[in-house]
Amino acid sequence: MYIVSNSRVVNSIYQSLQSTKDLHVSSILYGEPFTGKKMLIKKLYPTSVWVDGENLEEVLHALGNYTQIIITNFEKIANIDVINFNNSSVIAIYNKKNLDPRLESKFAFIYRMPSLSERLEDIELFTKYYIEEARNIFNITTDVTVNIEDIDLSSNFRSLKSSIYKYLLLKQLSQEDLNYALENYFQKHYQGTNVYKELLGLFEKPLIRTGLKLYKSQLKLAEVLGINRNTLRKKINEYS
Amino acid sequence: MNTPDFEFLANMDSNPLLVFNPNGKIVYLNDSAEILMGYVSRLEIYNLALNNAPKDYGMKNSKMELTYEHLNFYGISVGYKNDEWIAIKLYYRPLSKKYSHGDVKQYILTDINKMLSVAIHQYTIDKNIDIRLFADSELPHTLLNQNDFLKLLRIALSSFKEASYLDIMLKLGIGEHLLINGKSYKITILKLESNQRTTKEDKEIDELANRLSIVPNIQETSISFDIPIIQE
Repeated sequence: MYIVSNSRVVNSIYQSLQSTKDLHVSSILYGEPFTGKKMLIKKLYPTSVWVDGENLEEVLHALGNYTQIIITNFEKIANIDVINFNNSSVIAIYNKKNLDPRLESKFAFIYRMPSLSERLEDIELFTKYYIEEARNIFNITTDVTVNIEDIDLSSNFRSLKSSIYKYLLLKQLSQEDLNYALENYFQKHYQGTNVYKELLGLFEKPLIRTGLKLYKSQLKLAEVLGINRNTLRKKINEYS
Repeated sequence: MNTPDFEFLANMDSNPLLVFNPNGKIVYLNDSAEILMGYVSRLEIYNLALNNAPKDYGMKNSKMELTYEHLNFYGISVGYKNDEWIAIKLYYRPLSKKYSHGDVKQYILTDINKMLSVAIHQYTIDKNIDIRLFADSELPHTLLNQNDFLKLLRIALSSFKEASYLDIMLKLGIGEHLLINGKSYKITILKLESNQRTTKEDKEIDELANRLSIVPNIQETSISFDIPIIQE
């Protein structure tokens, strides 16, 4: 499965770049990191020469020897004045939310890749894609839905993907997995003279929080847990 | 054969053409004359026609220097066939400013229509603007620095970012030439016009155009470019 985007703006950028493919033109695609800029350009220019802006020497060599070049991490080029595009076809990928105004006069075309939070159509598309991918990896055979509030878009595709994987992984944990995870955690935190009390919260906190969600009333929850009402209240205060 | 669309043909001519009735009212003017009317009064042109009209029905050509702001003309034709109307045509002076261009060997034979099309597409990605395009699709290709030319188009188009509509016209400049390095070149005219325009980038537009041997005409609500057709 190779997907690019359901977003009108992203597809327009794609089409526009496609229409300039055989022209000797320099374009820059900028936007927050992990918004799919590289994926888009890779789809258009799978066989072009790719160089990293971090290595200026490599960039200058490519500009002098090739007619079609993709420069990634363009924001890492410190001295922009030494760059001359001449008649090369260049696409620069710039991983910042805002473009350095000095670059505007350097490029014929400037494209802004919208962040994922601006592309609701893509959130849906890629959530489905990553769920499917994670289901295959974790060998999950049942249907899975992820609530939008459980998706992290703070780092665009990177956080979207990791939050979906995390969500699916946690949903599948068995008692054995939980024990294993806790043992790992305990190993790193078995220090001091109050370990029992400090680590007990790892178990009690989610237990009480879940109970409160399910039963709403503390009275009922105390009964279900089989502990004294005052003890429960004390623990709620402790963990709140 | 259908009767040729004379109005269309008159609009293809970049020299202004006006027709007046006996009261001095304009009964017809071509696109180029509409531009002229931004710089000179109707009455002045009407009087110019009357003062230079042939004694009898027919047409009279006169050589004269006329300047209306930056518009320069070297002659006029005035004609009438009856007493119902009188027509005047003004002839633009070919630009004699000496231009020079860079190393043509570095330039690429380019389809200006394609350049315009990609520039418009890029411009409209995140904008909702009504663009009316009138482009002659048979324009000859020209040698250009594509990167700088597209940069020029991007900046020129972006000066209309506040406008609700944009009229774009691309046509061959009939009878107009540009002298570059002592050699005369036919020109393609690109005109962008709307109801409002920002002027912040005008200096950059002017500089870029000059670098490309393109003659810019930057006005309050329009920009036009005379683009030399270089083919060798």
